[in-house]
Amino acid sequence: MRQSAQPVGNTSLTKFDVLIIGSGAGGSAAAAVLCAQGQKVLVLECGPNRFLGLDARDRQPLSLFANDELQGSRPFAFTDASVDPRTWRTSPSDGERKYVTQVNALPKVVGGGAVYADLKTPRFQPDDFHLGTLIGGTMTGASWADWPVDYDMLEPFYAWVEKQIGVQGEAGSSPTEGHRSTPYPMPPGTPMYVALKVADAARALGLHPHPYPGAVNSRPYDGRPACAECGFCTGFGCASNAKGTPPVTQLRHALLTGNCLLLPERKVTRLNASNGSITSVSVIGPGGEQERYTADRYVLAASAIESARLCLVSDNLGNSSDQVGRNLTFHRQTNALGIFEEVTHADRGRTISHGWTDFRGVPNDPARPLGGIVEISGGPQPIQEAAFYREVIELFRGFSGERYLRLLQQSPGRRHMVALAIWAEDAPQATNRVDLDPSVKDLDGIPAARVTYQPHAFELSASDFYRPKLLDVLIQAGAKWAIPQPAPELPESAHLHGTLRFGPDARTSVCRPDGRFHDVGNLWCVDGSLFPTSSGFNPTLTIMALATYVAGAMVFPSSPAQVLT
Amino acid sequence: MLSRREVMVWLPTALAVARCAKPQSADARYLALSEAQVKALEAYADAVLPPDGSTLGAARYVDKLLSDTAPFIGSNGTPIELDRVSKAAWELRVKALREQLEPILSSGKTLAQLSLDDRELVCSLVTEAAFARPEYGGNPGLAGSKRVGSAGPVMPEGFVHWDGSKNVEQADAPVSTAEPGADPHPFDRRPATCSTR
Ligand SMILES: Cc1cc2nc3c(=O)[nH]c(=O)nc-3n(C[C@H](O)[C@H](O)[C@H](O)COP(=O)(O)OP(=O)(O)OC[C@H]3O[C@@H](n4cnc5c(N)ncnc54)[C@H](O)[C@@H]3O)c2cc1C
Ligand code: SF4
Repeated sequence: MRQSAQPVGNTSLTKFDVLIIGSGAGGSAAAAVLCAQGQKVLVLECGPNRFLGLDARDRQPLSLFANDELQGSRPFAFTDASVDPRTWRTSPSDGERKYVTQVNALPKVVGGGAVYADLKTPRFQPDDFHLGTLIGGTMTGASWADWPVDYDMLEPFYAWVEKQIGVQGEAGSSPTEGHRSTPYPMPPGTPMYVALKVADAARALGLHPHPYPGAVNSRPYDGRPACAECGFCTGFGCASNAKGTPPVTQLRHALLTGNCLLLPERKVTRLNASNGSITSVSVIGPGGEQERYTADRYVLAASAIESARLCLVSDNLGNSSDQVGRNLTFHRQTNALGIFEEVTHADRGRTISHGWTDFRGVPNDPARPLGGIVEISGGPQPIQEAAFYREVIELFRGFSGERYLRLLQQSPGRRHMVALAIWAEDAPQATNRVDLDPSVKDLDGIPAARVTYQPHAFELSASDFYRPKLLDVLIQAGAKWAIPQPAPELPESAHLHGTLRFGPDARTSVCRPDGRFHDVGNLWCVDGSLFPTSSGFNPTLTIMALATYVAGAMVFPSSPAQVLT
Repeated sequence: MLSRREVMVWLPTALAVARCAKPQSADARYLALSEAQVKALEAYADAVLPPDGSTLGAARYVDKLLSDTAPFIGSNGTPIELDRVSKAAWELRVKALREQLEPILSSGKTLAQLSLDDRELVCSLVTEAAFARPEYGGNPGLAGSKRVGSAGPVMPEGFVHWDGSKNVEQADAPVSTAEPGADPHPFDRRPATCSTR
């Protein structure tokens, strides 16, 4: 069997208390807690394993990821639409679908999307858990809901996960953050020049930039090295394990307990249920063989689109409310680019070292609409940069090698670039949903997930409000050109939430407040699907904290925080 | 930011398939491309990125792309095998690449005479060759990367190292401070400040 499909962990385990589908942020966080509590856990992951020795006690795993632009761009890193398609339409009036493509694809590998993330890990703010109450009733077309947990309940879980994965940051530097029971495990790492430059400008305009929290080692931590600020962070796996991704942190911790078995390249195709309980899962193995696995309890952690798809292909599992797949949210991205005469060299570093939360806004305040956190970054590496120049040259002047080379050398889109991005709250809408495409199927004949999505006026107006302010910051920082980036029709956001909302009411939510399905006695969810609302912050730390909370509730139903002691 | 046409493809079925499908090159080091195809590719490469005395390795890169059995190289320098699903995707893509590339290479057309789609394919392949890790066949000695002021896809170094007590930046390639020295490729003209808000 090829290395990437080999079982990892305790291969002598044959009977499992819990079977987790997906080894991403949610699945790995849950596995770490459950295994530490003595549960025997089987993790089934459809993607390959890109680490050697994840279960080795005496040494760090060897990451096979490299500082290699092709590793980030060749299509197998992300799902490839020719074998794993998703379809897209803005509304049923588009017909069955408008596009068959990679729709909000998260990489399918051991560790999931977070392996390719630059792993910025801000917490959500206290208000973010109450938007149903704060703004819910006042808006047509939106389905705002409160979270059944709040910031105070999650805070110890945030602190626990920050320690597990190693988060750098500066407590108190963001004026809008909630209280913290612990300091950040590490101080901020080397600031990026581009960020310092833009932060000065933002400050001059009355904003409050701060070091961006991230699961990137600013110093050696938990046996992993300090970040080398290599420039291949977002969109790339880390070659040195300085990035605290799920495989080298939570999943490894789970494997080292001796209570966990990870089976990579096992694609779950169906959850088999009888009398309101899951009895087994059907799987396609590494060579295409059919397999079946069982456990006492099951956990869905395949990410917001795939977890909903799995319920739908399993005879509409858990869907008595007709809510499965609904209320899909992304983050509305508002982007602006600045080109500076000076070299900004933002292609060095960990992609983002600073941001600001002032554009998160305040619920119901028209002078400060609800948007999201702003990231300061730069341009891409040369191969991707070059593709942009070709488009521009062909469009305006016709291709010429001399012109192309000159642009690549002057490098306005990399060495002189600043990029600002807002990750803004996306109003939940019941009509924004995942269902099954009626005829498009994947390589194995399983119906593709179809996304029906259009933005709400809520996020469009916030975007209009803050876009000029991004440009103001760029000009203040000295940009010679400041350009708003048009939003693509298909949101490119890799932040996926909703689809299996949790809440107290079985008519309006799919999962209970403890993450268990209302309709299925032995099934829980621990990924971004649970989120009733998206907030305006990178979601992964919250996915992990929530997964830890849900796993805690699986072991200690009335006091989940007991797993933290 | 940059919508990139995904044109990278792969021949994951064995070398034998490539050998059957293609006449063998007189130069044994080329496994998938014929001599004529190598010449055509090199001529295109010169048109995409005007030569400066160093080779881009475009033909070698494309040859490897078509004849290797693993589409990416691990941090330890060894090729990484594809999983079942990615392998199927790769096979489809390499088939599409071959179907598009072969007629281009035998067309006798200049780069300017190619259709927009064909030119984009050639330009993207040449560009990837110029800036990818040398293990893929192009960018020998990182010459292509250096030519555009990029440190290149070097392994495993970054721009900062931990000296046992603190992070130390490279003096000639800092992270937190302005670039030292003059810009070797300043903009042609001083741009006027412009915001399109
Ligand atoms: C380039 C990039 C940059 C990003 N940057 C950030 C960032 O800075 N900060 C941040 O917070 N977030 C970031 N994200 C988003 C982050 O990756 C996601 O929020 C996170 O991965 C979601 O976690 P999840 O557990 O919900 O899903 P995933 O991480 O997608 O995990 C789901 C897992 O389930 C597996 N799976 C799916 N279907 C099946 C099946 N049928 N059978 C078995 N296994 C299955 C998948 O392969 C995957 O491993 C980024 C994403 C990308 C792609
Ligand atoms: S910037 Fe740091 S954390 Fe990111 S990939 Fe490079 S070494 Fe790893």
